[in-house]
Amino acid sequence: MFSQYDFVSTLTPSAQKAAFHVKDDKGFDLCLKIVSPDYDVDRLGREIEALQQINHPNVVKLYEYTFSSTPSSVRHYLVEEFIEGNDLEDELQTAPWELARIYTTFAELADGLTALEEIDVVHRDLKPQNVRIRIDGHPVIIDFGLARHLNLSDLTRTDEGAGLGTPLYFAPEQFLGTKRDIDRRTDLFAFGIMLFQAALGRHPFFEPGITYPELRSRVCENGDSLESDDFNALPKKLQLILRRLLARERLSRLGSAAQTSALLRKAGKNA
Amino acid sequence: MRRGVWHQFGDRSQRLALEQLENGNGVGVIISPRDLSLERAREYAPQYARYDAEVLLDPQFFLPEASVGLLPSWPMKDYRASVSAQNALSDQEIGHLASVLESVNRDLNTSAVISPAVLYQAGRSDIQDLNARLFRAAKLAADTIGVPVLGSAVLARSATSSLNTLETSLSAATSLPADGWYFAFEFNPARIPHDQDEVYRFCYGALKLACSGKPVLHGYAGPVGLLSLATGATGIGIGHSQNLWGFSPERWQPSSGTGGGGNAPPRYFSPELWGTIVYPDEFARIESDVLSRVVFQTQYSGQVSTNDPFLSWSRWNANKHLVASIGRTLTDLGEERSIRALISTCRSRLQASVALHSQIYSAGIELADDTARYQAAWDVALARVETENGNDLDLIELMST
Repeated sequence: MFSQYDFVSTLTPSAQKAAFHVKDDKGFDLCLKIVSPDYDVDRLGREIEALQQINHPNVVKLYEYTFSSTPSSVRHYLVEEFIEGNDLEDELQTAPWELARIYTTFAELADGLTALEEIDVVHRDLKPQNVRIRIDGHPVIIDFGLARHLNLSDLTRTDEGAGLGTPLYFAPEQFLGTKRDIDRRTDLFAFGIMLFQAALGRHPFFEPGITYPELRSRVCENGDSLESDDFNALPKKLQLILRRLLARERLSRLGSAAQTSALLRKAGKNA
Repeated sequence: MRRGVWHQFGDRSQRLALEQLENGNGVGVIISPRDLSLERAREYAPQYARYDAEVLLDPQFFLPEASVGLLPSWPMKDYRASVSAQNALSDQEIGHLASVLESVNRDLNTSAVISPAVLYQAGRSDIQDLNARLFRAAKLAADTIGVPVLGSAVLARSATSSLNTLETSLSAATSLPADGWYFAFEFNPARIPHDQDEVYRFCYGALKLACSGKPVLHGYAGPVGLLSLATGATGIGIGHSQNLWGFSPERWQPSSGTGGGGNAPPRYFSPELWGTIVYPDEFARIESDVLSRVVFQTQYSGQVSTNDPFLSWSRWNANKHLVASIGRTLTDLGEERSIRALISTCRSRLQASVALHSQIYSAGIELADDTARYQAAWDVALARVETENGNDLDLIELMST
């Protein structure tokens, strides 16, 4: 399978997939991912089909999706655009960023999320590892849509004190296990955490040594998590945007990625 | 959605809507299938459009099995069934509902499709699920026509009874990817709501919807439209009769056969009082200097302004005057784009109304209908919005800059 591709290198894998940098027969750089969800193939297929319609500079292009089925396993294969650059996770090592960079990068990232919203796809696993920053600085959402097919119980399954991986970007409704409540604003909460990290160089809720229940409590119960000297030193408009993105109740969050993008541009313009 | 007053009438008042539009009052019409047949609606829709008014169709699925009035004459009738029956609709049937919605909205040349939705009730996740499915049909219809889709956030009393249930219900309603909101709120029974906490909850809900950055149409607003305008609503649905002053599910239940105003004398709506005066009885008793501050002229109030108790004034003209005066006042107020300034103006208006009512009361006149009962409570609720919802107001200000 995939004999048409030349292997270049192994990319950083995630919990659900292995990723490889490959070249096609014309020398075009691609990213090959192997995914193994164990259920709901039809739904995954339908959604992948929808995602293939997206042609947006801030969303990775999905060129091909296929799956193989054997008596013992089902495997899903994705062939995507290869994004040369760094993960946002790496870029955040240099945070706090300059304000202009924050507004520009995150407004574009919100544009990418808007493209997902327009086809009614909730990413559900937005995190710095799932955002690539191109060499020219433009952000691209990768690995979109797949977490949608995971059971919430899978997402929340973690041992106390163990790696907090994905839960670092959980919204309260993900911690609370209310699957019905997960919507586009769930992604905006994760977006808010990343924006906060870019603005202040730290996570709004997590700090080394805290346990899973403590993190959950900070996200779901503590309303004053944002109050701090460095946060209060941010421009008022950026504070406002962050407060709205990180509101515990979905109703109090910003309503859409498009609204978020527009507000970031306004804030950036007047900064 | 155009900003301003939307006419929300029944069957026998379509000409009233046309007359108001002709006089420059109102930017749109919300058609009620309970009160108007599809055939008649088809006749009227182009006439509204002649006055540059937008047209919307309120599908009125609030009570899922309702079949009152003319509802059974509309093609959506096949989908008016229990929540469980509607939840059991197949994808194919939802697709068919989408076709029906597309057809009727095309017929009426609506500027958006309002999603059918059952009244949101506290703790009813089955209703959330159903409304999400019904929304899918509406979105499909709207996308096919090429117009926006408005998500319905019509809340029953169980959902509006506390801030917690209100937040939960509105969070569910706003989880749908709508282009705007059709908002209605069931208050406790009262001619006009006057409980401070309840009125604050209403303001809170309207404000949160406005914070989504999408237009909000407050249906069945009536005089409460002053509050929704102050808290960020784009459109205000007003009607002349009291049963359109606030959303009440009873309108979609079989009638007991009672009701109606009988031969009650007309009520004169005064924007200065933001309330009504019984004509001619109370009118004649108010001192002339106070009366001169209370009277607001419209083309329907000529006889009243002469303050001659021997001149009759028809209830129909009183109705028209009410719609014209609320419409003109809200339109003028809506010119203000800063939400903080708008709240401040509305509060000043309410405070002035309280002072006027005090003067009337101190002269020994107790106005009927509890009409002096709510203005102070509304002022307190808006004051609470100013102090407790500064973050929401900041957001709306930032969006409008």
